[in-house]
Formats: sequence, C-alpha cells, structure tokens
Amino acid sequence: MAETKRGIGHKVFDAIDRVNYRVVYIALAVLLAVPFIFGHWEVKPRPRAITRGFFNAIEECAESGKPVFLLNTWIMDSRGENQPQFECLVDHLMRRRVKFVMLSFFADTAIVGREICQKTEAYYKKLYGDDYLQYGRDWLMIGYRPVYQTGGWQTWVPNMKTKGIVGSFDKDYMGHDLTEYPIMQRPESALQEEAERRAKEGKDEEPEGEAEPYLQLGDFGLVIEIHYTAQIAPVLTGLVRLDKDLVGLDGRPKIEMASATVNMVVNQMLPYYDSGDLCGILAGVQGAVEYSELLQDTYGTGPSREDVSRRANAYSMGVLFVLFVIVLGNLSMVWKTLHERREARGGS
Amino acid sequence: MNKVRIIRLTVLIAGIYFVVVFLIGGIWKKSLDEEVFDKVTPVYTDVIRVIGVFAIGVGVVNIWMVHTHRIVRGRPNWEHSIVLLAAFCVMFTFAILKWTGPQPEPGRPYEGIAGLFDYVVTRIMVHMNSTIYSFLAFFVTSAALRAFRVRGLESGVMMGGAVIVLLSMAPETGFPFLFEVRERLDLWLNAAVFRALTFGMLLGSITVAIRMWLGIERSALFEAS
Repeated sequence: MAETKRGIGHKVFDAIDRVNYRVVYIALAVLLAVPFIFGHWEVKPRPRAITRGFFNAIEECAESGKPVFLLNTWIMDSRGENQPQFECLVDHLMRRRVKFVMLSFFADTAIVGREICQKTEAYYKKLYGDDYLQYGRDWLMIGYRPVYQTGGWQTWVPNMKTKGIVGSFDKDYMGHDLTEYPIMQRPESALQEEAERRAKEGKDEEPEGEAEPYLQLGDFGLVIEIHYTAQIAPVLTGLVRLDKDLVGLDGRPKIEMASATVNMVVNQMLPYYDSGDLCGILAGVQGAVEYSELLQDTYGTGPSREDVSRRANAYSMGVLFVLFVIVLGNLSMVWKTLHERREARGGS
Repeated sequence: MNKVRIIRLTVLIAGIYFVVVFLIGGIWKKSLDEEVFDKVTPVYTDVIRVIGVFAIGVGVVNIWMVHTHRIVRGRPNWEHSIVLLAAFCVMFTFAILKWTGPQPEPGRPYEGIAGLFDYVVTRIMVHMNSTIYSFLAFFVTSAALRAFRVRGLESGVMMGGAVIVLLSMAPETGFPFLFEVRERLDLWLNAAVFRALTFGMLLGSITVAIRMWLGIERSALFEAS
C-alpha cells in the first residue's frame, strides 16, 4: 500500500538519488565539449579591480619602456586555467611591444610557453611586418631551469640578488649566451637611475669599476608569476624583499608584482593584493576572460581571444552543471524529508 | 663524531648564516652586504644546488632499480614497469637528439629529429597530464549531487556563499550584482580570513624551523639513525 501512496515526485527524486555516477560523468563531459564542438559564444564579463590592476601595470610598462619578468611556474595539470591566462598576457605584451624575459621552472611549461609565444609573434608579424617583434630584442626565453628540484627558491632568490639574471642563468633555452641578446643590455634610463641613486647616497660620482651593463632585477617594471600553488607565490615578494634597494620606506616593493593563478589559490593571494604587494591578480579562467575583455575593448580582437572564450564557455557550462546538481540533490533531500514527516504523521 | 651530530652541526651553522644575513644584512653596514654576503651566498647556494642534483641522480637510479626488479621477478603490474622504462628511454633518446641535432635560429621551433622531444611533450605528455587532473571535475560533480546538502545553518551559510561565487563565475547567467557581492566577499572576508590563516601557518613554520635548527625536532632522519 505504501508503494501506491508514493507519487511521481518521489519516484523521480529516488531515481536522482540512485543515479549511476557514469550518467553524471557523461552529462558533464558532453556539456564541457559543447564550446569545442559547436563553437564558442561571446560573453561580457565585468572585469574586477584585481584584473584591471594587472592590465594597467602592463600598460604602464608599455609607457615607460621597462621590461617585464615573466615567471612560468604553472604545470600542465593546471593548464585549463593557467594557459588562457598565459595566452592573454603574451598577447598583451607582444601587442604593446613590451619587452619580456621568460623563465620556466617546469620542462613542459617551457615548451608549451615557447610555442604560444612563437604563435603570437607570428600573428603580429603577419599583421605588422617582420620587424615588429624579434626574439632576443623584444622577448627572450631563458627556458626551463630545474630550480624547484635543486634546492628550491632558497637558492635561486639570493642568486638573483647577487649575480643578476645574466650571472644566475648564463644562457637562453638554446644554449646561447644571454649577453648576446640586445634585450639583456641595461636600458640607458636604468643606468642613469643608478648613477643618481649613488650620488644621493654620497658615493663617488664614478662607481668603482664599470657599472653593471646587464639587466638587473630592479630594472624590471613588473614581475609576473603564473602559478598553480601558493607555495610558490611568496617568491614574488621574497625576491624583491631580499634586496633592500627594492623596498621603499613604507615597506612596499618598488617593483610592481602581479600573480596569475588558479581559482583554488586566489584566496591565498588576496591578502598580498590587499596589502599592496601585488598590483593585480588573474583569477582562473574567469580572470583570463576578464583580461581578454579588457584587451578586446582597448585594442580589438587578438590571437588569444578565441581560445580564451572557448575555455571560459566550457568552464561556465561546468560550473552551471555543478550548481544544477547541487540544487537537484537538495530538492531531493527536502522532498524526502517532508514526505517522511507526512508519513510519520500518518498523512497521505 | 657520529652522523647525527654532523647533521645537527651542519644545520645549525647553515641556519646561523641565513639568520645573520636576514637580520643584519643591508641594515648594519652596507659594505658587509657587498663585501661578504654577496660573495658567500652564491657559493653557499651552489652547494645546495649540487646536493639537489645528487637527489635527481638518486631518483633515476631508484626508478631503474625498483622497476627492473619488478620486471625480472614478474611482480604484479610488471607490464606497467616496462612501459615506464620504455618511455624513459624514448624521452632520453629524444632529448639527446634535440641537444645534438640541427639547431634552429634563436626563437624558432625545433624541427626534424631535433623536434621529436618537443613533439612528444606538446602532443602527448601535456594532454595526458591535463586529462589526469581534469578527472577532479567529474569527482566534484558526482560529489555535488550526493553530498553537498544543506542540513543546518552552518552548511546553509557555506552553500549560500558557494552559490554566489559559482554564479559569478559564469557570466552567462547575467547577474551583474553578483560580481559586486563576490568582489566584496573576496576582498573583505576572504582576504582577512586567509591573512589570519597565513599568520597561524607561518608561526607554526617558524616554530618547527627553530626546533629543527636547534636539533630539538626528532625528525625521521634522526630517529632512523
């Protein structure tokens, strides 16, 4: 008799509760594949302050002519979120011809990163001519350095301070001397700044020996780290804080620093943004799509737009499906609880 | 002097150096920084790197020992070991070919036999790594259906926050006010909570570091010896 009392609602929710996990997996897989099979659709996210801060920092570098130091500390596990961020950033840097030096702490990231840079470079060369961008003059890839595996940041950070980039890494990813590349020569403005600083400190007008001719950490306008874990993040602040010349009297770093990371880690980075150590954060795919929107609004479509939109669409589909199943699960629980109470009261 | 004492002494001396560098470097005398620390630190860090490189060598030897034993003795899943060692040899060969093969112009992609290594990395390895990690999305969705239930006030608050954050992550939903709410949740509540957590974690790290530095911490290494 009890079976006959149970209506269609009970049966549906009972079926939902007992649904095979394979059905959920297939439904999710199909939804995630939609933008990749049927094409992406444009979305209009509202860029957050953390994303705008990042964008503005690169714009400032474009104005001042200062180079950017790009640390690739993401891995292929976090490719879904970090790769669109990387694509957007390289797109912006190359479009605005901001010089950048790139370093990877993981072998696969070094190769994937290099391919993306080469594709983006080819896109802009086709658009503006062969001389628009040039490896070694406008961008440089130091390549994969097993910093993570050989003593960690504790060895790399002090070396950067004492030896500079050329002294710490010597060669680029192909084994050519870093000193051969024009990008590694210190800009005239940096040499002037150093001379002024020395004069201010009351040191001799002519420094002992020759001034450092190659790029130093303090010459960069922005240090960007694209990463997947917060363990790496303090490198950004540690790198600068170790060198007392790079910290202002207010305790804040003199170089701008920004972090692009996966959604799971963003929460751990927010205190650094809040304190002013970081000028901006790219938060997961959403951060990438917001950044892409800023690029689109300011300069029009670029090579990163399509891939970022497609990944963002897939991400949205996944998120909405998770929400849907949460609602479904809770509805089922509420329905059953109410039904059990009614049964306990002896109602129909 | 036994091994434990040597290790403790090394850790103590190494620790003293870095404490001195961090506490008085650049503050007490700039010349001390330039004349001493800037010269000693690179030597010091190079030693740490050399030790790290030894660890990589030990790892490679260990992989070969473990898996050749498994294959020779026909232990369970010995077939997997063959695949692992074969992949190791293939990648090692491709890496040598990349190193010794025809080199492209700087900034250009590797081609021909020198490009085999990059090809395997970008066309096979990268996708396998991403696939393994993406399984998480499926597990989370399955768990969302069965376990993310509002059973009380606390879980209701958590679920409310989660729904706001999730909805704000999908711009297709078209709730602009949710972005405002999420931004405030991020910068007001989350930043404060994570700062508190970070302080706690760092205090814990400092405590453990001091204990290790002074040799009080009975780590696995000391216990073993």
